[in-house]
Amino acid sequence: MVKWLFRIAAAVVLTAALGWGWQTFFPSNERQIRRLLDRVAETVSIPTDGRFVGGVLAADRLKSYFTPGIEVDVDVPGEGRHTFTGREELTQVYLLARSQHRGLRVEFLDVLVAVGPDGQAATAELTARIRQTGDKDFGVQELRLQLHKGEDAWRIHRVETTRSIKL
Amino acid sequence: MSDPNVTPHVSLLQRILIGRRPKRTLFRALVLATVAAFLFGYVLVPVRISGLSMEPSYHDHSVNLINRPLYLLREPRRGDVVAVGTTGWHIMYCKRIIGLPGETLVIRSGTVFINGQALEEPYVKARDAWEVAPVQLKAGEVFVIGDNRGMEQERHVFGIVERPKLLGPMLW
Repeated sequence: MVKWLFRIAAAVVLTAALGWGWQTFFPSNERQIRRLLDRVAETVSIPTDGRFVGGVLAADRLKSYFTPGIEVDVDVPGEGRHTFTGREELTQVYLLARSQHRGLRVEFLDVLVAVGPDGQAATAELTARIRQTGDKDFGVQELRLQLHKGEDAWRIHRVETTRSIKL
Repeated sequence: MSDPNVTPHVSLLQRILIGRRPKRTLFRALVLATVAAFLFGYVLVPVRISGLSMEPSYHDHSVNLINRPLYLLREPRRGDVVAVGTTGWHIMYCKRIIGLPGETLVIRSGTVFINGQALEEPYVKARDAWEVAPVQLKAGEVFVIGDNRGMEQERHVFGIVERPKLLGPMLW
């Protein structure tokens, strides 16, 4: 009886390990996109002791997550609409934000990913929470992202504001 | 051989921590944890309110519970303070319903008109001269807004919400 229990437990552990290994080394499109979004959120967050060199490196890393023709169209309540295209402009906006803010934490919550039937295009909807380190208050932005799969990886092609409350 | 009808003696400390019968205590703790997880995860969802848009009715950093099953039993009503979901339920908006499906709503100099009639809003204590062009609500749509009309209109999130995005009304 005890031997059988051990065998069943071992089989469960082995199955779980194989499943984890498969997902780690052969991730699905949805998992790849979620990992990309985690990296984007981590990169756009600004550390409390952010240095110029760190900012340049982060901006360079950030560029790699977007297509060359990236289009951004966001509407921030109280600050109006901001639109820009291209990686260079994206980098400039990021470095400007980094020079004006310290200790900004960005999280992407409730991420919904829908991959197209051809597996080359996808849409992600998420809620971004932006919080100053140590502050309980936060800003919220609902976003819709369109992604394309290039030769080696998924990249973000378009970012736009979406709203649950529309006027 | 021990008598099965006699409870073994346990120290006061042990009795306080795990009870006279640890197995029964563990079972009760598991039942309590399961009920609490279900209750506060799916029935009465705790929320912390952040921001000023619902002042003075609801204060920044105050805590409340969302009554999820209520909208399974009845339709949303005017005056309900509701939680509006975003892409999920981690972050929600807390707003008041002022317009119902099929109604035409307009805001002129801060006063809300529903189908041409001025709406009485005793919960609004400060009123800026907000202006909103006429909005025709379709079936399954409500109009939500915060109570703090003294803030700038541009900084306030308000407007049309579809029924599935309403998680439920606040409990108090």
